[in-house]
Amino acid sequence: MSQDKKKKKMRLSLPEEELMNPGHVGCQGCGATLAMRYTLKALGQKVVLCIPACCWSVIDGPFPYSSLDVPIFHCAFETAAVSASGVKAGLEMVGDTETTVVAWAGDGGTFDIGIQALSGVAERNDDILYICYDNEAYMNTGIQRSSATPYGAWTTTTPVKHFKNRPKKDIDAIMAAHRIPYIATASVGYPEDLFKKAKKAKDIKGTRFLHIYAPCPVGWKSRSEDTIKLSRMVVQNATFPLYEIEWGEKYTLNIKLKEKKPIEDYLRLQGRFRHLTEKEIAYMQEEVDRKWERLLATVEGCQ
Amino acid sequence: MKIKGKKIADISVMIAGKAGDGVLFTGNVLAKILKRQGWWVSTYRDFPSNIRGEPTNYTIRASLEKIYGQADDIDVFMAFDCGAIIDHADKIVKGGIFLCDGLGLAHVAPSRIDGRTYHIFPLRKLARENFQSELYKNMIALGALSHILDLDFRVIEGIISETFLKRKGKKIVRKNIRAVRLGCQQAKKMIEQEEIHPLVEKKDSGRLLLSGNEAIAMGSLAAGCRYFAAYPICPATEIWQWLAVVLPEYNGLVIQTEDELAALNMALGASYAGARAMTSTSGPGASLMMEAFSLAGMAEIPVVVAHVQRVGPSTGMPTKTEQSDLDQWVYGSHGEFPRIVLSPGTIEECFEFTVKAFNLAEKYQCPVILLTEQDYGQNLRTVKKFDLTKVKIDRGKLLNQEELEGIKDYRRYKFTPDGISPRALPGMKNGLHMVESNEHDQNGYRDEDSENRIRMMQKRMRKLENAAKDLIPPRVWGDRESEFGIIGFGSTFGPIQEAIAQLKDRKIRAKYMQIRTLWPFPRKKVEEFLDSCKEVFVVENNFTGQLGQLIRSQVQMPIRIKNILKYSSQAFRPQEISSQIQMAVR
Repeated sequence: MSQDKKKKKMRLSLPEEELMNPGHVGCQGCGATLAMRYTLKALGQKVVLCIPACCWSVIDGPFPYSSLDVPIFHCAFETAAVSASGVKAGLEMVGDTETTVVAWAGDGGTFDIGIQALSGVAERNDDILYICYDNEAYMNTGIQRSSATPYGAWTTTTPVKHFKNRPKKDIDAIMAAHRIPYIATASVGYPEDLFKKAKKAKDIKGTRFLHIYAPCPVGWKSRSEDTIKLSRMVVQNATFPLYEIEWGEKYTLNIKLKEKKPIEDYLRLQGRFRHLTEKEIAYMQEEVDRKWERLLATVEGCQ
Repeated sequence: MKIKGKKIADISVMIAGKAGDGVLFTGNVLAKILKRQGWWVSTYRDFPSNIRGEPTNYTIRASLEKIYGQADDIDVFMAFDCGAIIDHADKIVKGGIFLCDGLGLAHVAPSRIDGRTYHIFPLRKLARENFQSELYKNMIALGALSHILDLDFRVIEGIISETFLKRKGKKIVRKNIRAVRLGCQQAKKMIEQEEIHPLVEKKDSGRLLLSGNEAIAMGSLAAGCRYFAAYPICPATEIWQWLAVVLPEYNGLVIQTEDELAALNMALGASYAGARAMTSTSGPGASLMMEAFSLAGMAEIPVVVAHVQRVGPSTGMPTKTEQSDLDQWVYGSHGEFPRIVLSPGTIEECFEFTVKAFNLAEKYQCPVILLTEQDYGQNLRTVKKFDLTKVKIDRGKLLNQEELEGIKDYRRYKFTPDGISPRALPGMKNGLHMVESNEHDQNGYRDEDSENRIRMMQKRMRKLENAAKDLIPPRVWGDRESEFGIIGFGSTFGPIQEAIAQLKDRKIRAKYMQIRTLWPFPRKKVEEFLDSCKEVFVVENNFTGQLGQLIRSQVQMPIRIKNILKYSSQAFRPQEISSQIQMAVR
């Protein structure tokens, strides 16, 4: 009896309605599927998704596992942003000005092959919501590095012997340089924050860019059950801070850290970092610290 | 299944389940075991383009004779779930044996239907009860197969410890070996002697078990390729995954680019500067490379592109096989320029043709395409060790400093009788020149004069006029006296060979021409072949019959050819060819 009472008192922070159905064909512990689920809760059903080649282009695929209750346009690999831009213009021409057109791409389709189209759209400030779910490599084709792969990580094309020795591309800074109305980073470990940002982005006109951190147990060689843990740790150790940028200038930090955790525990949960020596980890820690201090200074400068 | 005397001479084992079940892993271990027991092996993977969940199967065929593809039937079937029965029951031969992890099914007694035996083999249950983890179901399955095929246990143990010792340690090795033994014992209890398919050959003959992609990677290393730029795409990525590990040890560079535009253009840059350079791709990536392809033709930059064909159009079916990109490279891109398109049909040819491709690219200063397919690009086959003494490197008219200084008035695009101009590299003394994508004069400077244009076009197009002696000629197999001819390229090599043998059993004699250079088209040889046949069948894995159309457009004689086409996303099986020919000629 008392348990029932407790249940009643619990308040749902996300809407109950699901636009993503269970039974999809993603892997166990897939962060990208969580990203989609939370995002669609925020955007509602008046949405068209443009999805280029990426994990999601197979996750949403075959009947009866096809799992989304919104229209989808599978576009060519390098064209998520421009395809969405075309769809938005077309909808407006037939009198639909309400539908949110979303380009939904992975990190390869955003940071690498899709960046030219994305930059074009952002410069024109076309009215689309671009969402990149970032699992830090080409997972769908079998774990090849992308320019979102962090320093030190193993992938099949950055083997342990020659692991990646360049930092992750700072896509958010690149997008900020385009001075678009809204940029935000989010993590599947913070669903309420992600939900809030997607909802906010929905109501803004112009190019909006949402960058969602989405762990991939298969590609990271992490345990499926650690997905949420990793996507919270990455925020708490400041490797992937959660913040918003408005018009390329106004920075707001959304999750403030009382105590910034060291990155080592985070790295140790992932097989892709297993080969790293203490020296390399120390270097990575320095880099995280430096970038974090700079972000704090930028945020402070905006206040 | 083929039986010679009382011995099995040819057998196919299919392992089926859901993607993520470990089908590939189990199959690869089995293929290695069979190879090491001295059998010729050929594998065939049919897998979905996602990572987990959808049905997948892996056929491992072993034969006492050299084989180049899949057989018509399956003899032994190991299924991780019962759904596979419905999908593949028709492929199982009479006298075949079927093992399936029953999941919820209760009955344990084997049933015999149409001469095939069906067993419920509780793989997951055994794994859970004995090893507290379903992961061990793969090794238990392997154990059951080892009983049915009478495999050598020492070989299995050896391969398991090679696989796990370094990564997982002794304890895991022992556990896996125990799982194999358990599977073997359970199978012994369950399966009657008459159902087993014992293999006879038991000794390692030192062959390699390779995919076409790996052979291309090895070929490029042997050919002196030291710069490789590419973008991830199924089913071509294995080429540089192999090179990414190896090439740095040879002072080479493997670059993962941001897209295919960059990949081919970076390779062109490296080649212009003097390196032997290459890229690899598949359908959609090749479309993005078309602009750079044309540039290589105009600027006369040697480069090699390995194109592993998948099912199109657009994204198509990224992990399945087709031969539908022939037109793309033979006719592709804007403008007219010389190009060479090679089509290996076997793993050995993947290696040899790659070496050849680099030599041709530098000799004729043009792009060379290695057109292969997902089928033998990703599947494994046994090959004899490659003869590295046969690898000769020919850099064509590439000048060294001494030669260059002997030339009075160096011109990069000099008009020569054979159309090929001496090539200097940037930065060489006395060799200053411009490499130009605009139409240019002999020095490489932009020139829009009509007369120059005519001469320059003729110079470029002349390069391949007399190349026939260097190109890889078509090869004729089968009964040369017969009046029925078959023409094909690439992966149809194996199935056509076996179809000819099947036709011979049915008293129909046929011969087969394997086209190995698609462009420049070997017109004379093909005309001779056509002339010697009453009826010709062109076998292709596509809808429109691209090779057939190419032949029609090139030969200068009235011909009648019939196309045998397949575009189901699967490679040909021999029977599909032989039965169609049999029907047509009777």
